[in-house]
Amino acid sequence: MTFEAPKYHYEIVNDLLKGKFILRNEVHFEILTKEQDFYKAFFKESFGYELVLRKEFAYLLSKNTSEEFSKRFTVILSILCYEWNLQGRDIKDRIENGSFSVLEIQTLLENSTYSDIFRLIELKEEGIEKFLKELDQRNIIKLDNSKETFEFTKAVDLFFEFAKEIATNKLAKLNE
Amino acid sequence: MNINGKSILGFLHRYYDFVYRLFSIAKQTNFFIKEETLKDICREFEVPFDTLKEYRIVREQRNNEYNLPSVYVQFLSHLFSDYAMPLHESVDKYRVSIANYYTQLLQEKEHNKVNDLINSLVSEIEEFSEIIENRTRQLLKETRELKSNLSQIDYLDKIRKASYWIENYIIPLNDILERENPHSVYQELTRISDFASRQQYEYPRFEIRNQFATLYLYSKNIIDEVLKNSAIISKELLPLAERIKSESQILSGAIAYLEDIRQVALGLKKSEELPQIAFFENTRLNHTLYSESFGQDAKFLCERLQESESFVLQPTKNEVSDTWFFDLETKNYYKKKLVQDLPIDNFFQWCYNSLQAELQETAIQNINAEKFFAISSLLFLDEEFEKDFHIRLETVFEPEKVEICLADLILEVPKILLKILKK
Repeated sequence: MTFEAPKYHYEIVNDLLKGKFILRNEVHFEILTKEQDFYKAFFKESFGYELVLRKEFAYLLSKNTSEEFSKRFTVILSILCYEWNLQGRDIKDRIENGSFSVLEIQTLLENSTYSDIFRLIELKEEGIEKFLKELDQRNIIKLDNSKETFEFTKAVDLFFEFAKEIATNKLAKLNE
Repeated sequence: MNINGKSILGFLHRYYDFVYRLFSIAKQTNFFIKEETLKDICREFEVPFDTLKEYRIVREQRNNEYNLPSVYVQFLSHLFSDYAMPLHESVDKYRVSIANYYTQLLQEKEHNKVNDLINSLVSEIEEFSEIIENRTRQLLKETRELKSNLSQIDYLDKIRKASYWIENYIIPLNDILERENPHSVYQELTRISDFASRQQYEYPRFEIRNQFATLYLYSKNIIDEVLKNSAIISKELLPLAERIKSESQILSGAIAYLEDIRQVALGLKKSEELPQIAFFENTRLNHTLYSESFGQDAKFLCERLQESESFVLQPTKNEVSDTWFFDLETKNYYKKKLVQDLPIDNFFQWCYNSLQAELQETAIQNINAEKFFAISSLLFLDEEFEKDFHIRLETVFEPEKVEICLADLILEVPKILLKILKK
């Protein structure tokens, strides 16, 4: 009996265990989709994690999150949504189709009405640039070669869904 | 006073701005208006209140209230391109009545009745087409106003309003016009048009054949109107309303989240109550799970499993039987030790040292991955520590890496500081 793993097995496992989103345009996404039954069972049995496979991306879901990363990500994006709306821009359209300068983002966050919340997430001396690099490594954004501008990937959909869920819950509470 | 059409139109013309104000205010209360309010508007525009009553532009009701008669509501709505939107049932009733007239027409043999049914059908279709067009235009206008949000309503209200319109007006209107829906007016009109198209040649009486010709042309025109409005709804109105809803949801969710964070910072909310996006965070598995011998071990086990005879792994001569288990007793021992040793500045090193100290006194000397990982699992038992020792642990990941040499594995792990979380 020989152990035969699907092609790109190493990349799939390594990327997902690093908390990276595998995007549709990546070569191993296709294999992951094709072998989804195997990988769903593999991650569940080996690590207790749920593999979430969507049309545009795949990621691992874990109940044991250390919350800091997701908190930072949500705070930053929430502040940006608030600021872009003040500028009269269509938030979703802007996030999905826009390109952003790292400097512009930093200025927006630091001068926002919610800058006190931004300071609370303690990016410390690492600064926004390092955090954006981490988002890039995880395929949530794509920094360009100069590292001065970036675009969001489809993984940002999770933020939209999250925000909508909060709004729906809030509305339901008000209607109670 | 000489009351006739000309004098009424003269009055409406002379006091056009007043009429517009009256219409706008009355529209907000379903075209009923308090006498006091009505008199205020009259005073503002210097309009004689009694003339208004004499021309029957307003009609007195009980409780010092007046209303605008429906004929004026329709006329002024048309004049100002501003239509009230009664519930969808008021539109749907036309679909039902058009279908009923058509069914009767199919069965009717008496010529005069056929003539009347065609006339009724034409006028019903006419009214329906007007309502559809007005309603589509009104919805588009209101949706655009909601989008620009000139009246500055808050995001939750925007969600509420957009959702309500989508659910109660836009989708039902789309359904009633939808080409694919077998019960839509489109389908009904197509059947009527096909029937009229045949009857304009086949019906035995000449004058009724002409009536059918009118019905045929008329229904064809209205089908085009229906399709035009259906396209506006599905391509412009519905996407616009959905976008307003979605944008307002995202924004209101984002703001609610930021406010929650502020409340946690102020101690008004517990951080556990803070919602968070669920996805895998790599920080806790930031070590390499890799050993050269893993592949060989797995191969060996696979080969043994293929053999039909059962086998038992016996310790070799020099190997001491390893009886160390991470059972409840051991787990509790290590949990207690961890609490005693807090704060721990290098958690993984502490795991190794603790195991080493325990095993020194036994014949088992090797600290392998299995034992090490068992002890390391204490890092994930936040709830148990809270329950057993009433403390909450805080883990701080340092950028520095530490190498741990186990009997069967070399690990590169992050340096983790473990301490009691101060509230």
